[in-house]
Amino acid sequence: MKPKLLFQILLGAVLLLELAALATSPDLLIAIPLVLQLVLAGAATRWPKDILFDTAFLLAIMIAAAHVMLTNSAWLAMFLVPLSLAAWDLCRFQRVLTTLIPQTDLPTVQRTHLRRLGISAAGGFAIALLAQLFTLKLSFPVLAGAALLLALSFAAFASRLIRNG
Amino acid sequence: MTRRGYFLLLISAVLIVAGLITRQGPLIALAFPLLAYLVAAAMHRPAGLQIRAERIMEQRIVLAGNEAAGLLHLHNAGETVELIEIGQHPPVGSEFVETEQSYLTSFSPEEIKELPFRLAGPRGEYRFPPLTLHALDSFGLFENLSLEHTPLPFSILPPPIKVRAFRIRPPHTRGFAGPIPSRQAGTGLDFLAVREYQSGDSLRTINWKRSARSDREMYTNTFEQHRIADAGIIVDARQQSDILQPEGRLFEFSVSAAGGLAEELLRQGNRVGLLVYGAAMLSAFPGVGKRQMDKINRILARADTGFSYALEKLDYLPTRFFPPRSQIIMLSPIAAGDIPVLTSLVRNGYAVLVISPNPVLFDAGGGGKSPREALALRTALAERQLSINLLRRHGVQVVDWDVNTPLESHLRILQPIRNLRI
Repeated sequence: MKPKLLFQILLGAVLLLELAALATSPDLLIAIPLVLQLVLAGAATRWPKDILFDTAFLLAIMIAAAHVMLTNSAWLAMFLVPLSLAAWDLCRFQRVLTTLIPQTDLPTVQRTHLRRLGISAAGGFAIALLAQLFTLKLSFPVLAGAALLLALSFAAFASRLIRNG
Repeated sequence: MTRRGYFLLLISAVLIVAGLITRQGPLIALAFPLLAYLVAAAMHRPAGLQIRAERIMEQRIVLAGNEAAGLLHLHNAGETVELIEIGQHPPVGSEFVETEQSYLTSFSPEEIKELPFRLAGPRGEYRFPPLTLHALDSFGLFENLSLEHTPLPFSILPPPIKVRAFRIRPPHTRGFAGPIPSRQAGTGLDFLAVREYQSGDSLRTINWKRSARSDREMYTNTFEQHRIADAGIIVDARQQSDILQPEGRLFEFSVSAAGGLAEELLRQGNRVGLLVYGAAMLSAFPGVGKRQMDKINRILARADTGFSYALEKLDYLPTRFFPPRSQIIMLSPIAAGDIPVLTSLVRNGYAVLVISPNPVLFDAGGGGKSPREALALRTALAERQLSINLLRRHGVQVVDWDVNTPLESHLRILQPIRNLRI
């Protein structure tokens, strides 16, 4: 299947899921990002820029997170995140394909990437599914420790970003 | 990691932190597909690049107005590179013609790719900036950047000015046969003088009419030897010598003329040197042949005007750079302060020819003028003519060159200086 066609199918699926999220929890937290995303999608078809695709992807994640927080159910969001991730990847990848020089082996590059994307999205979905099935109860000290560890990781990440300019 | 990678990492981290703060496991679970995607990308991140780049140009020297064409030859000596962005920039001052500045491609081991390029630009010497090789994984999250240096200098020469059958007559010539009359008796075609017959003279050279008028003596004709000579070309690159007009620069005419003169003199077999006198002094020691022409062309390609406090006058002209009593050809618009230096060169035994692109006419352009402007133009031309006359009185040959007319026509009517010391 061609990446462009796959991208369009995924985009349709993402939109459908987002509308389902809005229907199951009619809230401004979902409605506003959804409207914004539709505006961005329109703009992105006219001016295909990275910033527009990135923002649209971010809004999809926000919709998924808001749906989880409002309904306390992750099933819809679990489908939404890998699908929007794949759509975000494909919109970049199809632009990459158009800039490849003619002598490149286009079908091989295309096939390899789609296989990897499929595996990673399915793998991510499976792990998320497993996480839903197993509930882990954490005590407060462990939770605080995990938060501290994350904060430290972020500090290291930020310093690395600054160092790399 | 690329900006996209950091962006994805940040979203995952925010989801996890939000999940921990709100104590909602499903929120953390949302980060897992993103992390799986990151891990997949990390597993296929690009390895160290071993791509050798080389530029091959059809011609290393091209004339202004023409395009320099070449190939960028890339050879992958390492592992497979899934996606690589090859960024090439034109040398500063030039620009690519119908050539992509950025290519995205993939490389198999030992694969060779050749990317054509074409360049155009004004006169100058150029060097390619480093080539950027930017390897990416197909997810676009990890990158490997390397720079490949392919400087490959090439020159765009000034448009040539043809100067055919241009003859110089310096006081001193060299020992090898050439086109220049040497003022020495010997085998040749041009009549030089008559002298008394000496044993060994060929009967063919006896001047029978002169001998018939004498009772006892016999006389023979002597002929002038033709030799090669030393010629030094000086291009005046002081800032004051240049005039900028919408249609071009006066300095460019000097450079083009210097190229044409050097080519013609070298073609005749002479030794030719070049000195560009300006803020940056460039020089080619006198030499012969095609290699010398290449050397001169490269210098002319690089020549440019500039300001230097020390070199604003010709006082520091390194005349010892040229052999004594050789021909010096100076390309300069002539300023009033230059006259003493040029006349002192004649006094020192050099034959000096000044080819002076007329700055007054060049600056005035060809448009209609008011009576006041016409008067100013006449005054400036008269002042210039006075300077030229003064130089000629001191034995300097001067060509007052209106750059809108061919230089060759001016050189053809050039009268030799009669009072040169022999």
